[in-house]
Amino acid sequence: VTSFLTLLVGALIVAAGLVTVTRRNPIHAALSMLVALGGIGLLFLGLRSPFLAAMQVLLYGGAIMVLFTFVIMLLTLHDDEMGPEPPANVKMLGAAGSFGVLAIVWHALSTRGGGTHFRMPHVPWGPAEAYGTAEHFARFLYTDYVVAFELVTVLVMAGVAGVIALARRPGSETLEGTKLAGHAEPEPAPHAAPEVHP
Amino acid sequence: VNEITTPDAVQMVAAALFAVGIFGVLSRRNLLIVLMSVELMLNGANLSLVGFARERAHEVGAADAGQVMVLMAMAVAAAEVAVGLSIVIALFRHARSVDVDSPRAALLRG
Repeated sequence: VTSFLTLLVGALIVAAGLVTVTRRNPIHAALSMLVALGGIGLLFLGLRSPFLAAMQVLLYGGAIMVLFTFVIMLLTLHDDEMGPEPPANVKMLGAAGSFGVLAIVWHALSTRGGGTHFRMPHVPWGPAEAYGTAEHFARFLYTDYVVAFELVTVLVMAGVAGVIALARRPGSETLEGTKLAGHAEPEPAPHAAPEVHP
Repeated sequence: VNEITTPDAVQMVAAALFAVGIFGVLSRRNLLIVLMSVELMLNGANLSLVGFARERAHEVGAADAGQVMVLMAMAVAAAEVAVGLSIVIALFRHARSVDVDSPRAALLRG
């Protein structure tokens, strides 16, 4: 991928990212984040990783962003439920922190390889089917990295269990009539205060 | 001699995206936006890994490690977002707000 095209798409990505972190309305933030994620998928394509580009669109652009928009629409936040905007000095502090990290990463990238005569290695491209395709992934994912793959499945199962535990209504100790082990202690009623919203 | 060179364009974009995510995490109080910022940081890291994998495409094993790691990071991110968003819903049920600094948010516990 040429540098110019990368920087063009990169500028779009960073601009969409900035819009994401500065909008007050969460749905605007989610939609501009979708633009950023799609741009990253484009860069993946340019880096000869078509399988990862497809996964980026399917997983991030599809699953994760749909989850975000679903939760935003489920909550239908009013303005007073999002809290006040942080004061300007907090924003300045955040900007300073992010610029600090950017400077550190920049320095690390600029001086890598011991800081001496670093140059971008010339990448001799093999045939496209030998790199970054689904076949390529399958070969390595189910041989060299099969342990990591299985560990990720365990993690996803743990995530499912965690989501179910979190999604229980407060106070309800049963799930379809069965007592959940380890959750016998009744939770305190969280809605003791009168409800403000209908 | 300490010769400074310009980083690769992909790595510049990745670092900038990571910095934007850090700004969001540090300066926003809406938990939904904070989660999105974390996702932006993750995407910056993924982009960096894919860029380095491309640099080392001629080395057997190195490029695959980078690409498989990105795939794993995506799977972990999906699980993380599912748990994170249910925490957002739990916080909203509990505190009637998604403000991470709201006084009732401090009472949220297991």
